[in-house]
Amino acid sequence: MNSYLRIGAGFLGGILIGIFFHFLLYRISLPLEPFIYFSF
Amino acid sequence: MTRSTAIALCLGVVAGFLGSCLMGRHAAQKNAYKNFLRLHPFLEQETSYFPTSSQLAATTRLQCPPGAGKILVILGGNSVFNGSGQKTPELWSRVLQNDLGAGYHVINFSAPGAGPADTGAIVFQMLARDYPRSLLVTNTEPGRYAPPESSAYSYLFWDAYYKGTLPEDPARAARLARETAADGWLDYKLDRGMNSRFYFHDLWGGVAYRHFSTIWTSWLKGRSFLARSRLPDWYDNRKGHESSEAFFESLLPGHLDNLRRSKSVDPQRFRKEADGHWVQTAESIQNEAEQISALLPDALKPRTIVVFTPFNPWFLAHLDPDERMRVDASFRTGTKLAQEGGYHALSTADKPFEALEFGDTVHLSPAGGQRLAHLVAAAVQDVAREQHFLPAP
Amino acid sequence: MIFTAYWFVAFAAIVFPLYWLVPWRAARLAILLAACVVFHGHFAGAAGVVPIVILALATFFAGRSGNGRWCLAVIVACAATLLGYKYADFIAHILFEPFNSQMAEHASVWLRNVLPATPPLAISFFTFEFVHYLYDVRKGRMRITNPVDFALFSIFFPSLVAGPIKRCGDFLPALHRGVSAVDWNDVALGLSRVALGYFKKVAISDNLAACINYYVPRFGSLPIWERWLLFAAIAFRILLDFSGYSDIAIGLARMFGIQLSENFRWPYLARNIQEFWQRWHISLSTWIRDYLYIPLGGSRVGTGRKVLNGFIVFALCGLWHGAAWHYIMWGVYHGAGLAISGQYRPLLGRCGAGLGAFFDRYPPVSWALTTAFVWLGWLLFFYPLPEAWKLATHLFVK
Repeated sequence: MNSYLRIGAGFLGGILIGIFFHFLLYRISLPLEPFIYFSF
Repeated sequence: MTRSTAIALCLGVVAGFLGSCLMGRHAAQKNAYKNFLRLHPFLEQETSYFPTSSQLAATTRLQCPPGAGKILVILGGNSVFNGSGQKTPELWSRVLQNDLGAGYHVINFSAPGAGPADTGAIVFQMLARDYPRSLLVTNTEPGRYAPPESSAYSYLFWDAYYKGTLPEDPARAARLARETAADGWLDYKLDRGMNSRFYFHDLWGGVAYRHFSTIWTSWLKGRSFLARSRLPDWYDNRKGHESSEAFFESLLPGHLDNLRRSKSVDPQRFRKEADGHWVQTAESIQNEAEQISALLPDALKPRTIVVFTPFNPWFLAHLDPDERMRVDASFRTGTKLAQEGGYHALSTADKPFEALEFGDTVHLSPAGGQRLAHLVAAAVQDVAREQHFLPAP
Repeated sequence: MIFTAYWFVAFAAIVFPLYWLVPWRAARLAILLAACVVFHGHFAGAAGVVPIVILALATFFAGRSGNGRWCLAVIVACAATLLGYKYADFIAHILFEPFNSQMAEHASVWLRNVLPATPPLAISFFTFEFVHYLYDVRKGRMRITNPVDFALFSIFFPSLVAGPIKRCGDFLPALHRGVSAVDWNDVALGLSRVALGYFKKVAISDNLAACINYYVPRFGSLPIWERWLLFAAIAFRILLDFSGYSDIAIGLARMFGIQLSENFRWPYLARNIQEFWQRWHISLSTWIRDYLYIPLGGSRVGTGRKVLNGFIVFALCGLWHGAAWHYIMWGVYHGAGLAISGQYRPLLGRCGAGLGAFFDRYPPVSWALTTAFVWLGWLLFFYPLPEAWKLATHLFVK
């Protein structure tokens, strides 16, 4: 039982990491200083 | 960590990533701006929100489904068309919609600092086949024809380009290959290219729009992490100024200096003839003709109206005669080049805009927006008739 | 930041599966080496690669010969290269400014024409690793004869950009163990560590940085409690940024099966400055202990000399972070903190002993003092002295 729980937790943790890596691909494109064009 | 747990984790990583890609693909089709009227800083890059071309296209499809039987009018262009200084109830594109009536649907994708082939023009190209009765109306200052692949809104162009949603244009493809061969382009192209496969901008942009954002910006401060859909139109809460000559005086000399540095006034593009008139140089005319030609595929040019929006006559009156002549020459030549390039051109230089119809040198007050809307509506109807979009009488 | 470039993402997506899938040790070694060369070449460019290759070749051959004088000569060459690329302008200003500011300006312009716009990528880390290796060769502790081993030690891409600073004696056995067999455990732990590092750096630290950059110029106009919040944000920003980067480096190495040593161990839990430096940027602090402090005499000399050595070593540590006076001041500040923390008990006699006993009895008090000391030090690290002083006083004065 314990080993199945560990495996399940590992898989879930992996899913979270995979989702985070996908989010990272988006997040690294956002500039720290965004472009601002405003003439007034 | 046991071996089986480690394997489970690694498989989970792959599953999580692939699952996110699929959700992103779904978001690309479904994520649309709700109750959309125009782009403003909270929905755009000023606050590190970068809509995808898919999001703008989905917004259009939501507001005007392809089978709705309406003529789609997509607005592109810069802050003048964006209605900078106009609050949403008095937005000029709403007046345009009223003028055109129920047979048309107007959607405003203009954005501050955008070139004539940015934002709205991208969506127009993407939807041209699904909406055979569609028009693009965009604005610019004569001489400003920034190519969309390298402008401040180029992320929209490249997003659509890599997703394969722009019409085929071999000349454009060859030009892009030449222009973007340098190393400096690589990371940018990888970003947009990867997104066309993994849809991370579509998914997480959608999450930021609907649920929560993940980037702190100085514009939003404490509201940075709220869903963007919960934020109001930025212009609506901005303290505006009543148009008046006293207000225009307060803008001197800064705004006048900017006007003097603009393409229409700066003498670089011009030469003075023997009779004292100013004309554009042959070199600048050739450059601009090439730039205009490269903005859109040839097949879509007859469905495009380029509006050369006016300068405030109050500020023009502060220019010297030579400068005013250059402005006239600029508008004349720009209109001619756009027409020769296959577009419809609408110059407002000779239209009776009054000083108090402006908020500053170029941006229109609600009253000026109404005048613009009436002018544009007439032009749209003419082009719709010419393109046989209207049913036979 | 290199680890947030899309090129790096594509690079990693190709290199790691290749490495994991090839069944032969030699092939894995070749893939790793090729990847390191490509990585270094891409991010450093020709101007950044050539000086490093020259130094690396000199270091390798001097080390292989075992000749003490050659090793010393190359140590000097490495130090001179670092000084030249990173500190020449700063040194020129120190030398000329007091006498003739125009001459200082001329020197600055000349240097800007002669030197590249930026120093070679990671020159500080290369220098420290080459110097450590040559010093150890001189002491008879080791010698690398295999050029592949040395090449990988030099340009191992996970730690190339921002550490941890590697030691040959630890790295090479870890390298050989890693390339021998791919272990699922290593991959899983490596992936988790990389994710943690990116979370700390990108999700949290970058947001803190944006917030700090906006509010610090407006510090005086904030309510006092928000100033303290910003003060804490500055402290956590640098911790998460730096330790996040180390996590990414350690995680990436682990994904190759190679275990690098830890670089951060909950530094803000330290109860005194010595403990802080045993938890913060561990690879740097142990390096300056082993290759600067101990050669200068370490703890074998008298109290006065020991304290002076501490000041010198930490001033250099500060200078290593950047060519500006406020970095040196930060180093001296920590040197002072270490001196006080290490010497107050013997120097203050019974009073010192009593104070020491009080701190031993009530660790939260010593923790609070240490934290306050370290966090105030970050103001010196990030801002020139006048601004740092203003920020510090604004914490207490409305």
